[in-house]
Amino acid sequence: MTAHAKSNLPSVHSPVAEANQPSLQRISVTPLAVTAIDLLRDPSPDPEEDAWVLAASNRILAKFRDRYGHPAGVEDESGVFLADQK
Amino acid sequence: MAHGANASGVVAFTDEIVRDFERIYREQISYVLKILVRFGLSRTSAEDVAHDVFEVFLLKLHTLEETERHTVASMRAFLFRIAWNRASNYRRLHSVVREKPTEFLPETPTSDRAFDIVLAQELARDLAKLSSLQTAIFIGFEVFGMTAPELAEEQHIEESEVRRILDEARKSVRRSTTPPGETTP
Repeated sequence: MTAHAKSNLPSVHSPVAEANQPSLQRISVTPLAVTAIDLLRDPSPDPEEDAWVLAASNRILAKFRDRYGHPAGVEDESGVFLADQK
Repeated sequence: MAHGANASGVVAFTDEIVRDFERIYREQISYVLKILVRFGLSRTSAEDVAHDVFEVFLLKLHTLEETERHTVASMRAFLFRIAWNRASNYRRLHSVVREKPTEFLPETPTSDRAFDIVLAQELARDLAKLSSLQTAIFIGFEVFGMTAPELAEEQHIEESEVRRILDEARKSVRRSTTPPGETTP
């Protein structure tokens, strides 16, 4: 599933999606049994945390580029990207 | 294109691997950073561990089938397990070096986060029992809200097969999704 396809998916709690699946109840809609599955979901947006996430993600990507070149490796004459494995 | 380490320990990343890595990084970095904080790490530590998570991920990416690399559900489960393992290692190391002077406050999880950590441990164990197809179907259905027909189309299998695999996967992850106090069937 691509990110684009994901964005077009119905919400987990979509009444339409549930109506289309009468015999399949999601664990996520079973009372109380939501917490473990919830760990795999994108957390709710939080402007303050999201600002940190954006800055941190850019810093991490910059480290990858420093270490492996652009975008994640050093291209040699054969066209492959090389990196030292530690 | 082939991928692997040669005799000198140099790893070659193909163009395809590099493109997939950047795409998945942009899709999942926010999730990985936030889940590491939920595991009780400070933001400073989460940033360091997230870097480690994606470094492990980059080195393992070639072991995944192309269809897996394009399945968000598979990537989410794969990264969750790496993040959990790296966070656990970090916490263990942190507890050993705790007496060293540091400019950062000790990381003491709140009770909510302690509960998340217990759940995450159970979930990571349970997910490890699943095959890649079971993972894609279970996470796709339960986490990303995909329907059985959508999953059947994505995985090129019959809808009845999706339901059978979902049932199997649910039995494997029963422990981490069963409310406290209830017994698993």
